[in-house]
Amino acid sequence: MKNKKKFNLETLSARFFSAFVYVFLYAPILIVILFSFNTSRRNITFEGFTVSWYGEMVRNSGLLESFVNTLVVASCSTAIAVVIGTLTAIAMFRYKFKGKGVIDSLLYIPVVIPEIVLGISLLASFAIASVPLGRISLVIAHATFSIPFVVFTVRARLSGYDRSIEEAAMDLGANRIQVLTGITIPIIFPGIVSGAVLAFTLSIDDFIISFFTTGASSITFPLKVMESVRSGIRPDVYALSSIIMLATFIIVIISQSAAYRSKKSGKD
Amino acid sequence: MEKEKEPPATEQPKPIVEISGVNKFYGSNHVVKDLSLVIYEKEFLSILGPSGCGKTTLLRMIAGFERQSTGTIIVEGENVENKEPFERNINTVFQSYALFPHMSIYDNIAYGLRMKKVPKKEIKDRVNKALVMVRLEGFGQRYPSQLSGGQKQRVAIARAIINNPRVLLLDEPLGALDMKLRKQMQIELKNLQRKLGITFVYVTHDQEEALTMSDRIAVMNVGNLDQCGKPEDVYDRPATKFIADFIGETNLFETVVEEEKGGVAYLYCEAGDMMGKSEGFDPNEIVYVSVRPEKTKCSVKPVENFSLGGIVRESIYLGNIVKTIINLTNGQAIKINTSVDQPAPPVGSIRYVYWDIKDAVMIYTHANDIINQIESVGLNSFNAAIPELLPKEGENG
Repeated sequence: MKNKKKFNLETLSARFFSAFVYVFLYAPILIVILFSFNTSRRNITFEGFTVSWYGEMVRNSGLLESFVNTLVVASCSTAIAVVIGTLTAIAMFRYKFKGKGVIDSLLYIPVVIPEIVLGISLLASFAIASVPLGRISLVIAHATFSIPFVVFTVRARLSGYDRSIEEAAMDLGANRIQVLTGITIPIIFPGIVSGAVLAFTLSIDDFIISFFTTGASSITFPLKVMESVRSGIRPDVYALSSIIMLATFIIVIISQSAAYRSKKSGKD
Repeated sequence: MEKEKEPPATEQPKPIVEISGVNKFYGSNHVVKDLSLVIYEKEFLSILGPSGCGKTTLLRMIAGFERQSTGTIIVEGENVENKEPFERNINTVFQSYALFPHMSIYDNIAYGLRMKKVPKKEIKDRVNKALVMVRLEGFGQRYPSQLSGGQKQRVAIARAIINNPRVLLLDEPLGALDMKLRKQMQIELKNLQRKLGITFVYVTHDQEEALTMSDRIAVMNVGNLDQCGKPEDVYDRPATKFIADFIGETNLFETVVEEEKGGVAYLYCEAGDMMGKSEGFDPNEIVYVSVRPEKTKCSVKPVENFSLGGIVRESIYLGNIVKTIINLTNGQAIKINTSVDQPAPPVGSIRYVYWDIKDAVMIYTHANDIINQIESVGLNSFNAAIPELLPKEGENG
């Protein structure tokens, strides 16, 4: 009897605890979605249901433009970071060269340095190199802080990699380019993908560095939201946020189920 | 099946790989030392040596993964010094199999042909044939992670031989397999080599494996090629003390030549006197004598010219043979293998070790050559400085 009671208490508290965690994590997100359907312009009370903010969002050219701008910058900076980061990781895995240890430790600096410092130093660098602040400077800045993340994920994937696989390919008649494209990259591809996802996400929600390194011509979504906060958040920002969240949710589900499937097939 | 049988090969074997004067340094580490070796067409050559002897490095230089520091490697009459691995008509089977994990077995085997842009239809035929040859029909759509070690090994072999290389290099391919599978694969590999008629260069540290499979064995030790010959040559007439010790079991004596008379060399060592083959030794020359356990005998009374007495320490029954271990007076343990129907000497009794002169393998130490060389250089200048280290007659010269 006593045993059973204890067991019940345990399960109950565990359930309560996990419910609490989920409420804590997801309640704010649900509130954003809820208020995107609010008829009131002010976001304190829920007055009635409407979808008009979604229409408003499409008509609000500044908001949409900033969102498109964010996607363009994220795509470009991710592409640059993936190419540079992957090649760096391969080079550091494959070759021994002078100053390798120094480069290795330097890679951590953009990760651990406060973003505000990185933002200011990038701004100063652009000023010295007389790069006009705008999309290009923004892409360069985002690529800068994304590269280490790509290097880390790709290198993690390479750590268990048997180099004789590359030698075997060469032995079978593949030249160096064919080895890279047909053997090395496909094998480390999961690492590249997770590096790219990381870089893309970091770029999309970066505020501090973007704040320092962009001009008036290319405002990103986080900057736009921040700007509108001053005059009170309009529900069309909620609407766009809800759509972004939905998209993220779908992407996560797809990637997780793909990872699950590949794991399952590899185990057979 | 075959309508015409080729006439048996009676002509001189043609060299296919010629290695001459090859050295390899890793920094100050001299891994391969002035090595010369000719590998012939259609032969099964094993490169045998303990780990770290430079055998894998030699193989990797033939394949093109490493470049020799000095010397030349000629393949099919062509210097391959500046040829990349993918430009050489040589394929390798790696110790770790090195299968492509992201490709099916079919794609793994087809890889070499695809690189050579062979038509699709032909690739299909040849891959299927290769799968049959290594007894993996129906495995084409599986992935390497779904195969056992032995199956992976077969895929690695199929992937290499499908390109019809002139030379197949195998780097300890059976190293990761268990004993039983190893034995089975040894036979399979040997049969495959005979069937395909291509040169196999097989790197191994397992002397038994080398003896079973090879037409010739090249024994390497600390970067040197100590001996290259047929298995029976290497086993029966080892060129160095190292080989005598490394290949098979042996009883090895460091002896000094007393004199040679009538085709017999009279020798002595710490443990006593013995006889060996006369091969024109100088008196006082240091010679190693190696006698295989199955050729070593023992008697209750000393045999003439032998005085190797000892106590029988152990008698071990091994099913087909009995191994007797006799401790000599200097502590050396002598192994003697006798057939089970012969009575084994009782443990604790005294026995005298001897052998037939023809069974003693005489191994030159070249110690005398070195002494002669030192003498011929003339050490007059040293005589004044360290006269006590030199023989008396040196003082005049």
